[in-house]
Amino acid sequence: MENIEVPSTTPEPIGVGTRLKAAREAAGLSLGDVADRLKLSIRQLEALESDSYDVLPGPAFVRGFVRNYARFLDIDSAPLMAALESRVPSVAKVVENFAHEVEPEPGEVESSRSRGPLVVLGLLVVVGLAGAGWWWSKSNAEKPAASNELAPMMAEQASAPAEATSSAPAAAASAPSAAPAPVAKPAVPAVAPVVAAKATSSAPAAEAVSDGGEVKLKVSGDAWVSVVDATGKKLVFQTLNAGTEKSVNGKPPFAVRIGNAPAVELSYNGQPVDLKSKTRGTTANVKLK
Amino acid sequence: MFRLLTGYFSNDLAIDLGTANTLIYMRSKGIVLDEPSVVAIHSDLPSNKKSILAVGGEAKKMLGRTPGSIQAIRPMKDGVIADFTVTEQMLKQFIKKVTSSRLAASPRIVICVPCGSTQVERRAIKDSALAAGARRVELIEEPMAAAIGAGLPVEEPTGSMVVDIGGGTTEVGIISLGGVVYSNSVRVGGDKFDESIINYIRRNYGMLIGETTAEEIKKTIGSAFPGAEVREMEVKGRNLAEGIPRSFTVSSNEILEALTEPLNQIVSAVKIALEQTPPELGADIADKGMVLTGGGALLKDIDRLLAEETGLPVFVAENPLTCVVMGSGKALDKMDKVGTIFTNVP
Repeated sequence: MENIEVPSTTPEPIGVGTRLKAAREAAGLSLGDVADRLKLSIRQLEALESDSYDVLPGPAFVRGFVRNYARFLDIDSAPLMAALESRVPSVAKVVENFAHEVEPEPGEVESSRSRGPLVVLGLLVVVGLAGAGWWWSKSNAEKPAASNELAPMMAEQASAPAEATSSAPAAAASAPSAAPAPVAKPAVPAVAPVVAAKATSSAPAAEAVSDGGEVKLKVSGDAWVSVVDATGKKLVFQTLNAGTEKSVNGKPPFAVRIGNAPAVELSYNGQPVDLKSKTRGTTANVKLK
Repeated sequence: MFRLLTGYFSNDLAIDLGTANTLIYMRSKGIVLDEPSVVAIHSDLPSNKKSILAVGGEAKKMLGRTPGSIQAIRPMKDGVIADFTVTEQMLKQFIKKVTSSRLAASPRIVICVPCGSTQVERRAIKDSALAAGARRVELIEEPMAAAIGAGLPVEEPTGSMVVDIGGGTTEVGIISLGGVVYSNSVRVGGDKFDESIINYIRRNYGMLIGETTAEEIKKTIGSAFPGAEVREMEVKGRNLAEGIPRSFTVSSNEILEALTEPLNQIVSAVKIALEQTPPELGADIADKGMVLTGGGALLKDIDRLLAEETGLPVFVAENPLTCVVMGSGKALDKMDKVGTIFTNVP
């Protein structure tokens, strides 16, 4: 597992807290003075000044508190907010991410508007071709030929994600990359005798495995999990209930963050990943390459 | 599968139909429209036929400067629809502006409503959107949308408090587990601030100023808490006694005095909300404080005022003006999965 990069467990100093502390001391104020004015507890202020955001309520609050603090000390909050971005993303980012796409330039609107439906149409054509291929190979089922050797392997690959992600066709359809198009055509007829029994639609899902990485999660207690792939797409971004098994595919490297790490087993491309060494508190941050 | 397809082809919208501004968020595009909620209507006197002349920014420029045959109207008052047909027309125009006719199925729309609005008013808003060509309309209460847009952890079992100071209303909401635990709406907002400034200046200076001037005063030197520096501004208005336009100077302290009354109403709404909050959620709020959103949150030191009055941490959301529509947009993306955050209309 030498290909797993661990972000250092101690947070890299981003200097926001030290800058605030320096400014406060320069102004000759005690923590008590600041607490009195900002109505925050001394404990919260100490957390702010030591950059330990885990004990604070949440990203929106951390950013708000820092902004208020900076304003009170009469220092420019903009560089502080920029420095915070790496640890505590701003709300606007989160919301934009939610929509998968950043707001386009005004001139771009027209083209991207027509692109969405075209992608769907393209995918429909691919699915149609795959169906035709399946039908054709079914009618030739008497002569299975050389594809027999390949079939069991592909079937294994196909069935695993097909069960775990029942939404496989949906996921494939919503991914705007038209990548499956050229590959799907030759692959589907070859696998057809076996895969057909499962479902034709699982074929695109199997395709995704081969050109990306697969992250598998096994959850024994409720845990909040986020998996973000190289393109910034949030593959998982939710609380998984106890007993859930989930596997997702995407473009490596993945940034994985797990809220209740002891209750989660993580494996990457079939290999288990040790979470204990990357866990701080109960939260684990892992980078999978 | 069919739903997925139509969902992909249609441009789903989230609309913040505010008293002052209407914002529209489109799925995967972000905010596509931000215009004042004003409609200019041209009426042909002999036939008494009315037609829409302009909507949005163009119409706002006409506000207070129209000849007899043209009427510039703000169809929303106090956060609710005052003029049903005009609102419907305005919504239609705005929706038409942001959607393309090509290949597009009629959109699903999420609209936020003030939590103080009655069922009749909600129905009216819903019907307006349906008449404007929506396939399905969901309503979301403004405090909920504001909280989602401000990035508060609304779905967690922890109390979050949000104060949304809009143009017509101020909404106070306490939210936990994806639902509104307590909400209250007072009909005080940016417009009331302007009105108070107009009244104050008429009383103390004997001068008449317009709404636009009052808004400018509020934005330039208005504040909610006495600051260290006193700022001044030169204003032009009509002297009531002489009937002649004159210019005079107002200071930030005077404006603060003018704003005291509406600000007190907001403070008491917040205090009542805190009183009504279940103790467990109150404890969460004492720890995290409250978040201010909406245009009114931009009033200088309003967070300071609420912090001093309540003794709780208060901060302004990062982009207070777009919080509500961004939150509705986020709700739109989750529309198929979660139903609890929307309110029901019979």
